[in-house]
Amino acid sequence: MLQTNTVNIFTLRMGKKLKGHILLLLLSSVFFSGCAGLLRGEQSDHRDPWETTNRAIFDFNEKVDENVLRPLAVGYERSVPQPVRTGVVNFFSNLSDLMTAVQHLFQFNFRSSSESAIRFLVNSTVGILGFADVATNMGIAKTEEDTGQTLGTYGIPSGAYVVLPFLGPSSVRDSLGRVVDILGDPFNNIVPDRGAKLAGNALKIVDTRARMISAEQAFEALAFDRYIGMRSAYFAIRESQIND
Amino acid sequence: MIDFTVVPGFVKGKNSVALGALFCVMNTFAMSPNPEDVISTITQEILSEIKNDPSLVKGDLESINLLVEKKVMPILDFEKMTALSVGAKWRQASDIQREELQKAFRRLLLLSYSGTVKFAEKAKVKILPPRRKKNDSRVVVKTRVSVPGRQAVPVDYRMRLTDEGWKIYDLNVLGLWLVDNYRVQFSQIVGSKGVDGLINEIVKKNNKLSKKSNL
Repeated sequence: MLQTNTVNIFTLRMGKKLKGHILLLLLSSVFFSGCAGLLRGEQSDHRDPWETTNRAIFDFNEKVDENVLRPLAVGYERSVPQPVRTGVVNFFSNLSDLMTAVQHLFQFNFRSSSESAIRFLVNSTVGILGFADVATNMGIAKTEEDTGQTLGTYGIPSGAYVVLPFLGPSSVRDSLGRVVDILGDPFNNIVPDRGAKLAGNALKIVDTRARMISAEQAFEALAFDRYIGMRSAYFAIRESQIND
Repeated sequence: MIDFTVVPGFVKGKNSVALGALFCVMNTFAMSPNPEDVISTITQEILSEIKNDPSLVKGDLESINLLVEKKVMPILDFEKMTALSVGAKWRQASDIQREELQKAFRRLLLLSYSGTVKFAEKAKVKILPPRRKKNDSRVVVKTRVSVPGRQAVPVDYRMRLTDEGWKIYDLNVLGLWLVDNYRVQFSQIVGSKGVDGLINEIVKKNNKLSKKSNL
């Protein structure tokens, strides 16, 4: 039963790249894999061999979010005035421009790399340590790249789906990228004081979560099963980010 | 060709509007607008409506519903969109079931996007150069939606040529195709609970979402 199911899903993934008359085959394979999955009580995906563990960590993350992170983010959004929050967003966004400039360089994308570098230079100086985003007003658009995406452009496949504790959805490749990103994070390398480092990272996490509040409704509508919805969104979005 | 510089003032007023309208109508008959133009026109119209209507920015569901009915539905092949999302079992659904599926699905999409309307106030849409052959009857129109200070978000549309011109039947935000997303989940629900079960599930989801958006 397990094998049939996997094979069917595999046909589905392959079939997606083809078109037209394969649609029928595709739809029927969706139907049959649906049935098989239901008989087993769950749906399996060839990209997610560690589904049982991942689901456990996913549930844990949801609990942490529901009880700690989301309330903090909501409180932050309510109590901190908009201009201050924008300043915080800009500050961390400016540091990410520096990282992005380096990533573009590793992707041999020299033009985008210099654009990100110019953004960083302008915003760090004229924008006072990055609190104001002057570069956007000058017409230099923001881009975002990370190590996982760079590895992806080298042709390294994402590998199995991994849900990281606290950090959320990832893959084997992207978890590795994540480690490099955290080690190379300018904020952690520049700030010497341990307390300030901790406070800064906490602020960054709460701020990132606060900005996701507005997308919650859309995600809720997309996902009838939150775990599966998150997983397919993760793979689709990462693929699109790598090909941009 | 009429030279407007020599036409008396009163003609320039009301009548030139009529002339303009006539010209537009003739233009549609002569050649249906290409898919990129359809997207470009509609996004500009919607963005300007949002900029001029504070109730839309506030996320008022009724106002958004009206806007969708007036502007979005006419260029959507919504039946096809629903059919593809439901999957193979669509063909077995009765006419009443199909209608109910469309109704519930429409409300689901409305609730899903109502929260993002407020960002449209500052948004700019750029349409990427088309990559298609001249006689293609199915195309993908790629756009980039940018909000100041954030990386532009890719939003793509699958369109097909119908008797009433180009219509959208699938949409991609951030790399995630709407129909793909729902088909995998819906076919599972239809498989176990049947078409009526799916309608129930969507309605249940809608009620939960609208309760949240009222808070």
